[in-house]
Amino acid sequence: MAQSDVLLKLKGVKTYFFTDEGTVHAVDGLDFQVRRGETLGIVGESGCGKSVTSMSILRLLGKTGKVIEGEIMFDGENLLDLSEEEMRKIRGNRISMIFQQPTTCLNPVFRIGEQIIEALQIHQGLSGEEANKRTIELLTLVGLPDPVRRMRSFPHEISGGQAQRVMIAMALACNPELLIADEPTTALDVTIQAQILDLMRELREKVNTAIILITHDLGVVAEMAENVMVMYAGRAVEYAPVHALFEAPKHPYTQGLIASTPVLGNVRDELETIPGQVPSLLNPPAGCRFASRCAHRMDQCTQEEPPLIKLEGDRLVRCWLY
Amino acid sequence: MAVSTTQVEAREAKKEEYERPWLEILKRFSRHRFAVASVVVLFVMIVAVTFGPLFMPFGETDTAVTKKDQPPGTEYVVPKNLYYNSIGGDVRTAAGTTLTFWLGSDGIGRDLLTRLLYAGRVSLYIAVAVTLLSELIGIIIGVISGYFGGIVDAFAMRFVDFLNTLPLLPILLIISTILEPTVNLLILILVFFSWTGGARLMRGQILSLREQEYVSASRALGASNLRIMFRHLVPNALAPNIVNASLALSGVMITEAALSFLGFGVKLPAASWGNMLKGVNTTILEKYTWQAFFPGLAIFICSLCFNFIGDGLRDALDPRAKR
Amino acid sequence: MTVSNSTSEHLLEVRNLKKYFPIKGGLMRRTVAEVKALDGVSFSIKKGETLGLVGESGCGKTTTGRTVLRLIPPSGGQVLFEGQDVLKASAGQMRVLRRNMQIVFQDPYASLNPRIPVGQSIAEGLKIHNIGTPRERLDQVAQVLERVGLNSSHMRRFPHEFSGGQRQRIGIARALVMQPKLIVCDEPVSALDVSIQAQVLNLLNDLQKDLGLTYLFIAHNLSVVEHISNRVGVMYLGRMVELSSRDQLFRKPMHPYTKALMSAIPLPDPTIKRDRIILEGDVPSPVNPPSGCRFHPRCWLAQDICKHDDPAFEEKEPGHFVACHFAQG
Repeated sequence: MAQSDVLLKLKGVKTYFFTDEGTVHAVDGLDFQVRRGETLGIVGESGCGKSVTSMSILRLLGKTGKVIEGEIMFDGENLLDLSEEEMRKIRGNRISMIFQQPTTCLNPVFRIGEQIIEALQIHQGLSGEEANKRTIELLTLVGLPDPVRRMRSFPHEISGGQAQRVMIAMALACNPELLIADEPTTALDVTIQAQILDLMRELREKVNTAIILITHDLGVVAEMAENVMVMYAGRAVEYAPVHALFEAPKHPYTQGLIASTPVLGNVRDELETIPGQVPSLLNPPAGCRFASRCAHRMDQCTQEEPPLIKLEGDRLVRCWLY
Repeated sequence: MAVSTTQVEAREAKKEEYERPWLEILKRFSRHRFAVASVVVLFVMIVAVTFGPLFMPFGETDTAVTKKDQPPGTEYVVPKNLYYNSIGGDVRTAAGTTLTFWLGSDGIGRDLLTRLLYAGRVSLYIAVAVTLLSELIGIIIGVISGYFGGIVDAFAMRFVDFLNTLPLLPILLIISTILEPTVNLLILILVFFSWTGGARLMRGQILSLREQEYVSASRALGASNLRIMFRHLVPNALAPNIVNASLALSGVMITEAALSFLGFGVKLPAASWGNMLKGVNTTILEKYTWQAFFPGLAIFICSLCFNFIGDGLRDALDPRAKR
Repeated sequence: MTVSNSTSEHLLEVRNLKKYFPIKGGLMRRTVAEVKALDGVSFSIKKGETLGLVGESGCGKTTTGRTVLRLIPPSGGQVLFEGQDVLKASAGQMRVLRRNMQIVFQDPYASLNPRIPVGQSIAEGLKIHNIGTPRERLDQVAQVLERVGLNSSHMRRFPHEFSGGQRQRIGIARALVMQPKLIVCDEPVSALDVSIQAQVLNLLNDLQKDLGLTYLFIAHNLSVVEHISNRVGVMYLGRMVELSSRDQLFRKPMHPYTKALMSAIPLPDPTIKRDRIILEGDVPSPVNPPSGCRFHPRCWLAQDICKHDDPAFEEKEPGHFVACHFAQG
């Protein structure tokens, strides 16, 4: 039953934004899959399309954005074919999400408890009493100290780290099959980030939710993910199990990314850099999008888009070198 | 690359111009078609009201007793010589000439077009002067208040609150009994009461902008407060004030009309767009629509033009604006 | 590194610097409490050296940078720049000092005036100080733009036409054109992507080598600070808790907070499994900091003494200052 093992499968997804300045090819042909219980890390720099990918899955693209091609199969169902009504039943219920700025995701005028209880009542139809009990359970689960009292707090009364715990509690409220975490620790201090990552690891074992972890921090990916997808300019350039990726990155971009990250306890005189900048997604260049910054550029690279090439050990790389 | 090499070269050639962005601003303004059209329309209007009356066969207050409430296009044979401003002097129109009320005549037989032109002089003057002066004062007080904060801000804003609680009309009535009401006095008084909105807007903008890092950067370079306020803050905070000014303009014309009713605005028989509209009632609207329509149209066109120009200016002053 | 005799060895000396922000409340806007953003911080920087300041949000590192430059008035303490007290300088002296002390900001979007061509932003300092003719200023702007890796023709463009990394280069150019001796770098790379961050860090390094600049480098990212600094100070809740040479600090941290901070950083290497120290709770409010050692509520080594006695900032090993009763290597 290999089929049912796959929870989410994206096939040739293209998400474009139609703006005054032109069409932004934010995600331009993306294929990947997430198995049940798996943690997939998506890494890339700003503008690579990693956040747009998550918004495409949840169909929260706003007015200007649209998935124009491809399919997003979630548990055998194409999310793009669902009505808005059906989609609403999936969001926050079977797929939930945590965001970078936890404090802005909580409504400032409602108590924390009320917000979680509301989610439980909407999605699971629990009674007030049951929802209340479940909320306390959830807040205890995410390690919020003194949950009964904290439920009565307003969002501004808690710290960023605690707010992220509340967001995680909310996300887990309905036992989602898939949790999308978009830069969940970027806005937090390192010691608080350590707490939250620790919590996420712990919860992963307890509730067996598949996680898509979106981040720009290679350290976070190395610690949390089983498999990693590296994105660049709207496309996946490399896909590999986490150990293999850090041991021997294949794509020149991944190599550059790893080499340009300063690593604690490993001081180098000069950091490797990737020259130049990410190309504009208004008019993405033909061929390989990394070509203009790549040290291994060949003639072929600027003319023809390399396909995702399968390498041994479950790896994929989009580069003509292989 | 979004910028082609030729563009880069063109920029290179004129690079000393980086200290004179006015050309750029003009260029961006000229891309705003409605704004440019509005400038043209306003210019034509100003020329018309300035020089137009000199060529009109009627004086501002000449009446044709037999031709009250005539519709546009009515012809009229002048029974006696018309003089400038109907008080002797040079003959403007000799007796026996056939004239046309191009826009009709009003309730006592005055030519509407003539009055519209005379009225435009004073109405435009008052509206522009009041708006510009009150925005200028408002901007200066707003930026000082927002930038320095503390006691300066508290004092300025309480004064603004105080002014806003004063009832305009009774106070004007009192003033008009003490002083001889003239147009310039009217302007001063209107400015005194109307700068507060602009000041509030500017202050609010400054409060958020002053925390921007480019302000700190400028301070770190040793810039004076004056430089920070007027070089860095005001240009970035101007947009709401420009919109406010363009909206305030038509408001001033209406206020002026209300005031003239109380004997403080432009006094009859002298005409202003406001007081031409003032006497309008349902009978006039139904039977002599043109008497209300043309002054109304003049105010409407003016405020529309000012709004477009305001839009254009706002965009032109913002280098980020596209198109 | 170039000049070093005993009198002018330290370019900058900060002694017992304090900054309390008042919290106003009530009808009369009286000060009801104070945020003790900086509570007695001392350090010095040698010519040509980079001192890194690390710490989490609210530790006072940014306030330190701004107070040193007198962008915000201090509540107490001394800042000596080449022996001259910056905080007591007259307006005239301050003008001269401003040329020598510059700052590069974190947010490349907010630190440039969006309505002014970048060339003009860079030239502003020169103009304020009446340096050169317009033509000469233009040449200097062109030169400095080339120096930071941009094209001199970029000067007529507006900030929104540049990417984040390019804007940060412009911010550096603006500081550099004044030919300063000290540059305070306030989180200069934390808003940038990794590959761009590396470019900017290398640029800062090159500039230091070529021009003998001195940096006060403020950042929350320990790896970045380790990469660029000669010495590093760790701050917590308005205090300096540890200050030492880079190698000593990162090889042999002595303060428990430093240890926790270092172990909290996720390393981009999945093969490393570390015993992570996970601190409990959040950073306490600087309005009402804990008694005794400010770190004691979160410290796993805390004893009774830590609750009552504020540990002194002492030199436990040569050049290695720590404020902890139980400092150990």
